[in-house]
Amino acid sequence: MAELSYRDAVIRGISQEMERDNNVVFLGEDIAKAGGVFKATVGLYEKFGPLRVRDTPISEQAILGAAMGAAMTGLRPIAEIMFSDFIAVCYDYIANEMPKLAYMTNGQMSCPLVIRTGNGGGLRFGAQHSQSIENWTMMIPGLKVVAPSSPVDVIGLMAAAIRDNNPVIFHEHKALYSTKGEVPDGEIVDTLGTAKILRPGKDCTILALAMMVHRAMEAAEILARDHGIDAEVVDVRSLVPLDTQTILGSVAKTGRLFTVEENPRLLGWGAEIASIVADEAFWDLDGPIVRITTPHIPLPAADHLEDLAIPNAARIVDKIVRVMNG
Amino acid sequence: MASTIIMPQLGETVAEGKILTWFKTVGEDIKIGDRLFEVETDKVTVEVEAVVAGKLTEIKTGDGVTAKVGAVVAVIGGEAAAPGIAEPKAEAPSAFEEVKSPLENYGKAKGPDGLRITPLARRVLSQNAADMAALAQFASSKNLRKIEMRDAQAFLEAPAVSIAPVASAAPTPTTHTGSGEVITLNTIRAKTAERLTENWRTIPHVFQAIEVDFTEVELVRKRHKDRFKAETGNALTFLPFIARACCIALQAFPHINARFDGKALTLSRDINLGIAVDLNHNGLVVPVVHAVQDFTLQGLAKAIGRQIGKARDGTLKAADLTGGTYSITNNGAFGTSFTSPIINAPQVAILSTDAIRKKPAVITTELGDAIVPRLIGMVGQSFDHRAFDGAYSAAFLSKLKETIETKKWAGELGESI
Repeated sequence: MAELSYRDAVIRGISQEMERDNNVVFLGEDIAKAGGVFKATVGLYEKFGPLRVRDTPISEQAILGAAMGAAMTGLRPIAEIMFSDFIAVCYDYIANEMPKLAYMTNGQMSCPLVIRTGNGGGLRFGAQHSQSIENWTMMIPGLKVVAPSSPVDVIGLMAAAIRDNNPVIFHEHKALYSTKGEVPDGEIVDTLGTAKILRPGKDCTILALAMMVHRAMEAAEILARDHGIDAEVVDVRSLVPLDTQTILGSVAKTGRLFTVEENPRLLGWGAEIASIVADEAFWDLDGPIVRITTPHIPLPAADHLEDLAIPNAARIVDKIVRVMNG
Repeated sequence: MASTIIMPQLGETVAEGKILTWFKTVGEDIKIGDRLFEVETDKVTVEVEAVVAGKLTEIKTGDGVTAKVGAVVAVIGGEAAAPGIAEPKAEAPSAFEEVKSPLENYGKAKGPDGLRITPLARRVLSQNAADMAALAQFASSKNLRKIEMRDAQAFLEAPAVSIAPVASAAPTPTTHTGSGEVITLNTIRAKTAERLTENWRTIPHVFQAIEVDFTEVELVRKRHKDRFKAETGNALTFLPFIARACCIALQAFPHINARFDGKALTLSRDINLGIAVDLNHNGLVVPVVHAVQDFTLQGLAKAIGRQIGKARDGTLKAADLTGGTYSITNNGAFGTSFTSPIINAPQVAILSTDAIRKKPAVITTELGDAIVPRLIGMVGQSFDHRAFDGAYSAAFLSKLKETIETKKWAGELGESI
């Protein structure tokens, strides 16, 4: 057991899989000698050499095109898209090519690759470098989508993503790189498509993802301490596949559902879950499903405005108290 | 272009049909609307018409032969006899059905007086057979405009308002001279007599009984009877346990929860239990608790208690006496061993329960067989042999016995198990 930062967990996860399987290669902008702009790939170049850890030109299409070709010819590449906003630049690969390959070739080819990308806001990077775009990736059939919230989940889900035979989008949260958590020694492999109940509770269910998990946990403590509301916090972790069993089970227990989402409100991931829950668990609901999200706006760069836009513990508490005790 | 003719789905539970007669032969020209063949299922006999035109090129299922629903029985408009046309597989649930919506409905979002009730609260109120008028009173006494789960819980846990039973006037005996007392039948008695005679005359009754061990039920009942009495004003008897087990077993044997008109057996989606109530030896009424298939033991006990109360008070309405799909009669109080009851047509079966008492029973332990006292009761069923056969009824009784003996009853009474 050791305390590890989210950033070091990325390095350890990639390292663990590159040691295990020579077919795992890694490519992206400034990821090799420079160790990544977020310093989340430091030491991999030194450890695995220039053949397996490669810097690329500043072209997202080139990165994903090369990664897809490598995956089609037997490697298991990890490609980094520095800021998740840039997914839009290479969306054709992500939406049309990678997830459809196995289907278009009748299973003759597969596309076992992982696209790591720095997602989310909170760092004053402005509207083009701060977005939470997990919902852009969630809606494409054929892709798997994960977004870990803790160092141990980074390692376990990274290993699972690399070993999976489908393209997986791996959303790392930029504002979590410096956060720390306990990580066991030895190999860690998790399962895609599983949510985690981080805090059991009986009065309401709060679903959250990535950075919002930490804010939901903080809110849950305040709710318990100041308002007598015992909230269950579920870290969704994987949007595709979605662990509906855990989610519906939690709603069946508490009768109340809140989602805390960093993506903008319109068609955010929680909208889909709200729809599933309204459909399957209607008779378990003891109140409206309430989504707490970033508003449908381009994210501001100014400190106080960005802080207002992204849900925080105080806003989560306020909303839940008003709905539950109203 | 060849068209295939398939065995149609005639009724929801029908799996196959027998072709009685083909009206057409191979080679004949078929027009839309022509009668093709007559098919018989375990429920109905119907004629099937052509919905496409063309030459009848092949008959795969001939006269007197049975085919599964969906199987190809003939081909119209094929080149010639087209051997080897694959039969379509029975329809499986679609792999694309990603979301399952519940099919039950637990009532309207707005209750009496425009009271809004959340879905969960509605479900729990319905499953506990809550009296909605009383709920509205409760809400107005607490100044509630909407009912959430916590309010529903408070309402269900509130002690029931007790209503003093109204003493019913005994009928005046008419005396005749000469040969002892002559009793004129009261209306209930006369009506009962008329119906029983008709049912006994027209229905071929078969009676079966099975011994059931109530020892486990009694353990749970003991733990909860005082609380139950305090909360609802009703005694927690064996009857609701048996009724709840019936609901479970009837869902596994749906032909018993049905109405029979001499030709067709109409299965009922809802389980509407008739509970025979003796009116102090002055007649018998069978009030019905409706749509109780999803009720918990507690809800069922309350619902039955309420109907029995109404029967004794003489406040039953017409709706309380109609729509039954299965009946239970209980003579346990008088210590009888078993009763062979008369079926309440158009229902097809009736359950009887009698005294439950300690008897020596052989149980198998690790140390060998032992004779121990166990609480044993006889549960019997009269059924209409026209509707189904003895093996079906016996399998139902066996399921009922298994349910009573092995169900985790404590969970239905709110204990965590």
